[in-house]
Amino acid sequence: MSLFWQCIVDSLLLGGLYSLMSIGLSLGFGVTRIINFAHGEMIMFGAYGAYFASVLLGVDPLLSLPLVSIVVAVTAAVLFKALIEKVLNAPHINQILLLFGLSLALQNVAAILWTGDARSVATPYSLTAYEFDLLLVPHGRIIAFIVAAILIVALFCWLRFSELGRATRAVAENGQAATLMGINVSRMYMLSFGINAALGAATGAISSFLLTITPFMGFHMLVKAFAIVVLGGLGSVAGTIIGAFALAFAETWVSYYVPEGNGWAEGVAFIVLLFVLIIRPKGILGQAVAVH
Amino acid sequence: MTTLLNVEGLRAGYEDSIVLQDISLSVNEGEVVALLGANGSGKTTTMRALTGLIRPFGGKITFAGRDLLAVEPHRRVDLGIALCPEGRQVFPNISVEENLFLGSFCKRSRPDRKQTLDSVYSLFPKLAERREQKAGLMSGGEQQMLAVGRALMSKPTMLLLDEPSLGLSPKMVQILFGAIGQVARSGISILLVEQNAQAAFAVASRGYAISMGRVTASGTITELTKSGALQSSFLGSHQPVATA
Repeated sequence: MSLFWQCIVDSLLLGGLYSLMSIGLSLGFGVTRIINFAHGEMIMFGAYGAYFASVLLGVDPLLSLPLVSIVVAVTAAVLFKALIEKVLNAPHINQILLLFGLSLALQNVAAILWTGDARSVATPYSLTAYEFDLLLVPHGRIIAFIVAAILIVALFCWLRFSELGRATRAVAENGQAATLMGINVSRMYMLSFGINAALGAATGAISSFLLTITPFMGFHMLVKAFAIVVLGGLGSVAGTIIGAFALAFAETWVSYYVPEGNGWAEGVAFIVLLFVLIIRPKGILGQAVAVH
Repeated sequence: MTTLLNVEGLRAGYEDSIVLQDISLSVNEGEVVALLGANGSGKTTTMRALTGLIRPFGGKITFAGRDLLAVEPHRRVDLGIALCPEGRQVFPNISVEENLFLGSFCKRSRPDRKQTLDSVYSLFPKLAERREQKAGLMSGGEQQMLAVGRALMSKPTMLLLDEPSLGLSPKMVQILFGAIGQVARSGISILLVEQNAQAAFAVASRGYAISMGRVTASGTITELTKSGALQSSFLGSHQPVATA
């Protein structure tokens, strides 16, 4: 029975991290209709940022998170202006190739700069845990969950209540009508791309004390985020969170209850992706997307 | 009377088709002018060129003495020219009230948005009742009210209305044009695109008939109806119809 509860707790904590990991990808698609295949690299840079802040300056990842996120956001906004803006109206295959290429380029830049060595950040809360009977709840995972929850609620409030958040939703629904309202659509694209990158970088910063940091960690996370976003419905924030918890539960369940499950858990995302695309391609809460 | 909007020799269209061959028209301050013509004659394209949703190939547009083509599309509403687009184009998953707030996004109108909102609600009481509802869940007529209200939220000096009667019941057309008449009496200039000539005549004082992307007749409503220019603009023309 304790295995069951352990599984529940682990799933919930992982679901928080997965929500933050994929929400930027989902929102970005909702606004710009472009899938950011380089989203994983925003996570990777966030993780490296937190790592170097910790190793070189002795700053805790939670403290460096805001600055790391801002730096990554600004860099992403520059990349958007320089590259991605030029393919906004291009065929999808051009967009995919550009962003996939960007992803590979960024991975290799990181590998050149920082080698392919696996790293991790040691914090006072990395290896400690609460223990209730046989239930083990690591402090690091709780902290990651809380940070993710705060950021997601902040994002939600910004979208819901702020002037620019409202404008972002308007642009996502109808760019031409938004222009008629006096909204600078290309500026909003850049802003949302920057915010999504910041959310990715924040995911990286809180992953830095949970996971192993390598230049190639982003792709791995992108695949999972992609499965989550497809499962929840592209562009739907609520759907993304449902998808994130669904994948977290599925992975945790497989790793606990299937023999040799730890290895199989990593493949769950692919199976989810496959079945969603066959059974319900628009996802749980997704709106049908027009095919051009 | 001073000219508020002046269009000269406007040529515009899409990638490989020219829709507007030569459009010249003007709207004076406080005036309601109708733009009449059949499907595909270039009415909507004219509206899109005025608001910058498409970039014209040639011609001049001046608004309140300024060269409108030199102004970025999203900044035009700040000059006081607002379009209520064809097919309403409300934001379907956003509430009625938030749609209206989006209408006052520009600097010009943001400080007074609370008062403007009240005046839009008194013009369309239905919108006040539905303020929390998602715009996409309302009837076509209510959405059209919302689209007009949203354009008014920017406090325009000139309102462009693109086929407000499209797809509405006669009763709804009556209500809507009653409100449009009220807007006109408040001093806002209106350029109105309509296929429903009868409804347009109820509020407009002057009109232009366009066909195949050219102005074929202009004058007061009485002149236009007498000359038969409208009939030929709607029914005449053996040439193939340009795509819009």
